[in-house]
Amino acid sequence: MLPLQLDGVSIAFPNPPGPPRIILRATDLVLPAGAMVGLEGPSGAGKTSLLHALAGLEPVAAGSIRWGGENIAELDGAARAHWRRRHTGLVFQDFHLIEGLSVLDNVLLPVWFDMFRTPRALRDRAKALLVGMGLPMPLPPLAVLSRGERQRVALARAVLRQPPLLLADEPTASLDAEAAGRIGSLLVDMAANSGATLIVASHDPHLLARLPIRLRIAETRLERLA
Amino acid sequence: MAARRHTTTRRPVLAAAAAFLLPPNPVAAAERLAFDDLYSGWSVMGASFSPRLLALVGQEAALRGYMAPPLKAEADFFVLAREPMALCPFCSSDADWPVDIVVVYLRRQAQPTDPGTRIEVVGRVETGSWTDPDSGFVSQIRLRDARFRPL
Amino acid sequence: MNPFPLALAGLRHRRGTALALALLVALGVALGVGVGALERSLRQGAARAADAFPLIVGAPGSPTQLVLTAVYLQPDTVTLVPGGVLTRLAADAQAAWVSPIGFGDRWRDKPVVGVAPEFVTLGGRRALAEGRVFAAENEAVIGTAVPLAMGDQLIPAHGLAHAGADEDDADTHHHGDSPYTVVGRLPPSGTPWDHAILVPIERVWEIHGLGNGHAEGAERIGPPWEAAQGIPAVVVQPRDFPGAYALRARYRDAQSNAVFPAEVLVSLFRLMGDVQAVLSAMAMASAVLVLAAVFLAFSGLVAARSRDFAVLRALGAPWRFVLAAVWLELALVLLGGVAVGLGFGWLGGWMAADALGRHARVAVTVAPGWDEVLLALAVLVAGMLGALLPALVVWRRPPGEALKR
Ligand SMILES: Nc1ncnc2c1ncn2[C@@H]1O[C@H](COP(=O)(O)OP(=O)(O)OP(=O)(O)O)[C@@H](O)[C@H]1O
Ligand SMILES: [Mg+2]
Repeated sequence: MLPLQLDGVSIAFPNPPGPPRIILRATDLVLPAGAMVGLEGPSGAGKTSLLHALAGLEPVAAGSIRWGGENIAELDGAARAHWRRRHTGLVFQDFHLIEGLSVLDNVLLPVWFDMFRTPRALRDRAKALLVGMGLPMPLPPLAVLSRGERQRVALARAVLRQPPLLLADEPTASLDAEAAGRIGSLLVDMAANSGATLIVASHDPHLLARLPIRLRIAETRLERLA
Repeated sequence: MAARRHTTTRRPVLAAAAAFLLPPNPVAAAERLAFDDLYSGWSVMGASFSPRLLALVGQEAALRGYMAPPLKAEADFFVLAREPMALCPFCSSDADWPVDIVVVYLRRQAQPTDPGTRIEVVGRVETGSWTDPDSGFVSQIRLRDARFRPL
Repeated sequence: MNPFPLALAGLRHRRGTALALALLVALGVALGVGVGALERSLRQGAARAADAFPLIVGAPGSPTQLVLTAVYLQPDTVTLVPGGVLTRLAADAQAAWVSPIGFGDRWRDKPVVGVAPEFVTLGGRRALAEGRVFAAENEAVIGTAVPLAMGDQLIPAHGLAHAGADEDDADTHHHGDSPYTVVGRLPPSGTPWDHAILVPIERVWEIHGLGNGHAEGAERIGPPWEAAQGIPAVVVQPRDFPGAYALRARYRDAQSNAVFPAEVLVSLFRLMGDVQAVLSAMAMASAVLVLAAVFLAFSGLVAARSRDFAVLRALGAPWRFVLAAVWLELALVLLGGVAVGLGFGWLGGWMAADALGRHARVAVTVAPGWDEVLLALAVLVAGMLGALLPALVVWRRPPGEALKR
């Protein structure tokens, strides 16, 4: 639901002793609210780096990143964390679930940032999401879940509070074709239902094919594919 | 019986921790009293308390003297005497021992000091004949809730 | 905000490490607590045993020896104080009551001690647990640990050399045909006197062929003793504070020595305190080392979980949540360790004190004291402040890097 506007965004990493290594060079981009975007490019091109920059996880070297008018590039760390909490749902390539927490608690984790007690409604919604994604009931311990199941738990965590912005980094990598297809559908359906802006970085042609807007990073340039 | 006890000399680390947790002693506010101020006269009936002492009853007062040899180990009281008690084996006789002693009941149990060390005690003044239920000893003048420091 | 589930998850996930760390803290704390509690309880036990003995008068000699034999009934040969001293003391206006302490005889391994009736009741301050005070020469009052019942009879054997010898042993020199009848029992005192059998001093003198201490033909028990014989020690209850010091001064002469047991104890305690100070410093140092070790281990633990913390931040956790989660995890380990250590320390102190106390027949109770709580609190506070450090380090690292790994 958030429109995105990039103006002159550069991403670079320090690379001592040499000069900083530039990943993305002075890039402009405008995306409408509710856009569904596929981000592709060869390995090491900077897809993850761009997603992180869009989520405010890493500072940019130059330029502004405006989500609905708010320039997150000039917010400090605490303000960016606050902004992420309010607006983003992140799905990582490696799921990044917290070991030691139960499956349900992993989904509810972001709730505890603000509240001591978990509201009933959110708990019910978390369960409903997990059931809807086809996880076995009663929920097994986290440690025994397969990769496909873990990816679904990570997805449930990202969408629990219906964020206006969904960022997914290779959500179907290392899944078999069938599981990949299911996760892809879930992601696209979720975004479509809530009207969230969706950006997916992926190498998966099937998943990319379902996304109307296609972006490609190559040689420090971001280009829009027809 | 878990006696509350704080040693000031033996466990510096603990003492520091205690000092950190407890408020400082309000020694400064107490009025100075001398052994000569305690009694105003002696008669057949015994000694009579001085008006100055009686005026201080219930209030904090400071008194300087020497700790007499302890009557009880691990006790929360000691006897304060005008002079150091019989350190010299030649002068230790019955007559040397004065009656104008003050019994000091400490706020917190403490290790006794050396009999030759002059100390200042601050405590709430109490007068009248009273028998300590634990030791069976009778006393006339007492300092309650007392603290002391070597001079 | 609710960082508890996360901290608990961290502990659960690495429960082996967490448990080992908590145990390490517990051992460090237990050492300090145990040493402190042991020393304090030994002191209190020893001091309590001396409560019934305000002033002791004995033959000139070592005050420590006098206190050990009279108060703690540690058998040793002592020089007798002349009977005249007892006669004088009994007549002294500044003494509320006096009692001879005439030991030397035994029944099995229990000492039989000749005293005055005033000592049995401590001049009216001690009520008997059972029965009454002896009123005749062949009656006895026993301590709680003496395995006899009211009305039982006992025949003491003479001499310390035969302590523990069989009663029917031919070598044992019985004071035959002179049984005592048990008429009363003392309440438990937690002192060696729980094992004693109290009998009238008159009978002790008589058995040894010294008369009964009274004028010819008189058959009563208790003071005054016109013809008092020599005795190992006299216990004196002064009337008041000046009296206590006056008596102590008056009976220090060529014939006798007068001491407050407290004087001896305080100087012993001072010695003990020096040893304890060294032990205490060592315990303190070990606590500091343990804390340092725990701290290092925890830094490793936090590093191992850096990805988790990066995830939290990526999900938008506020800094206080991340801080609280990291800190809480270490704080819980410390809290557990300190609590268990406090318990361990008291238990260890209690066991050591009990073993030592049993040997000396002094009941030593290790009660939780504020000193140990303070020590534990100091460790806890130091640790919890230290725990803020790894928590702050976590926040200072940008989350992106850890997520890519
Ligand atoms: N924190 C960093 N410091 C230095 N270099 C970095 C950092 N993060 C990423 N890089 C480099 O930037 C480049 C882009 O990395 P990035 O992870 O964004 O690529 P990617 O397109 O996501 O690749 P893949 O498809 O393999 O996931 C890589 O060469 C990587 O080594
Ligand atoms: Mg990547």
